[in-house]
Amino acid sequence: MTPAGFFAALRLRTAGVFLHPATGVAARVILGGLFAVSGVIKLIEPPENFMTAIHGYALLPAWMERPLAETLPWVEMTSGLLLVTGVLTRASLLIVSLQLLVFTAALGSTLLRGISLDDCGCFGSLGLKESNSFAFVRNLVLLALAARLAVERNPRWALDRWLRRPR
Amino acid sequence: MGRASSRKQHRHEQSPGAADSIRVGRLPRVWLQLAAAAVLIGAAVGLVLWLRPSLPKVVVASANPFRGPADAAVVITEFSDFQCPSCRAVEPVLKQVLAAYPTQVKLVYVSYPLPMHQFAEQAAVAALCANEQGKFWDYHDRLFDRQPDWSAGADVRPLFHGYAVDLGLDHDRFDACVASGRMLPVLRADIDRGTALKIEGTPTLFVNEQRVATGAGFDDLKRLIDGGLRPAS
Repeated sequence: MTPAGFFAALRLRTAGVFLHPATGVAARVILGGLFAVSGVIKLIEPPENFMTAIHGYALLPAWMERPLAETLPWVEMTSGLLLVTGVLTRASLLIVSLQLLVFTAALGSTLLRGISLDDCGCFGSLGLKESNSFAFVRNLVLLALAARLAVERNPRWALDRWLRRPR
Repeated sequence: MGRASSRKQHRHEQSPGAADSIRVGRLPRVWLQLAAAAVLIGAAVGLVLWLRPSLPKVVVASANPFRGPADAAVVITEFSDFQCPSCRAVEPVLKQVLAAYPTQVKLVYVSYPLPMHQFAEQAAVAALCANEQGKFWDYHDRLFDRQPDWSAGADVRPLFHGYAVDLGLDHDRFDACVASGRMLPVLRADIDRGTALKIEGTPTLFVNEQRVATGAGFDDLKRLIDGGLRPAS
């Protein structure tokens, strides 16, 4: 096999794995699960902990930190839960993706500004102490999963599929 | 020809009904999805409310170092880490608060060294050893003033010893205290108090029982203090 042929076959194989229905299910469980868990963890902690993490980004005026710390975890949990169970999948994927884009941009800005975060605020007190760069790269991977889900019209193992079936 | 036109007519007659059945049929499915979402969200909210712990009251030991009058109407409890830059940054704000409320506010210091700060625990122990000789606040101020020096070092012991000498502490007693590790249980008790209160970052301040997020400025603290000083109606 020529190198060109090898790479063409590899591309096809990669595309096949990427578009495989099982990959879609895994992507939904990972992405939705992460958002749901991270929302719940923040919600069972005092909101001041998340406020402290938000403050570390030095992006928002102080008056916005409390309202954001008190509302964002609910959005994370709800959108994550709907995505993982596959209810209103398109809408929940859109909301999760928008959050992910904003979080990634915020992390990217800390890297550009040379801010070292003690806590990225990603998973509350789950004990994961990630560096900004690690969290940034992790978010890029999650964005790739979101892109994978965006090309799927009728995801498998989703409650939507069952609720929309002809009766 | 006749059969074809009759089929066309039949299709024509069928189509409005079919469209209606689609419209009528789709509506309940969307409602079903919304209902499923509502059930899931309701269950999740219930789970969160069930999991949410009721946090204990802010309690400190009588031996915890404090500034201001012992019987002040408002108590600010500061969970802090000597190696944390944000804790260093909040010091001028706290001094401003104490200057503005000299008789109404008491500031209590509780050590909460974060594991990510290599020398924070040693610094907390050194400050507690200085406290034994009644020089906690001098040593506290010195540790924060010189934070960039000792945070970057490889061995903080000579520096901490030097601060004790500079501040007129009995340095033999100070060194013995540091070496004995007898302040570790005191420190552990402080950390346990912070952990019970779900403290994640430092500095975490409480104005009486009200938790204050990192980054709060003088005006935020003033508002809470004034609220605490106002007689309950």
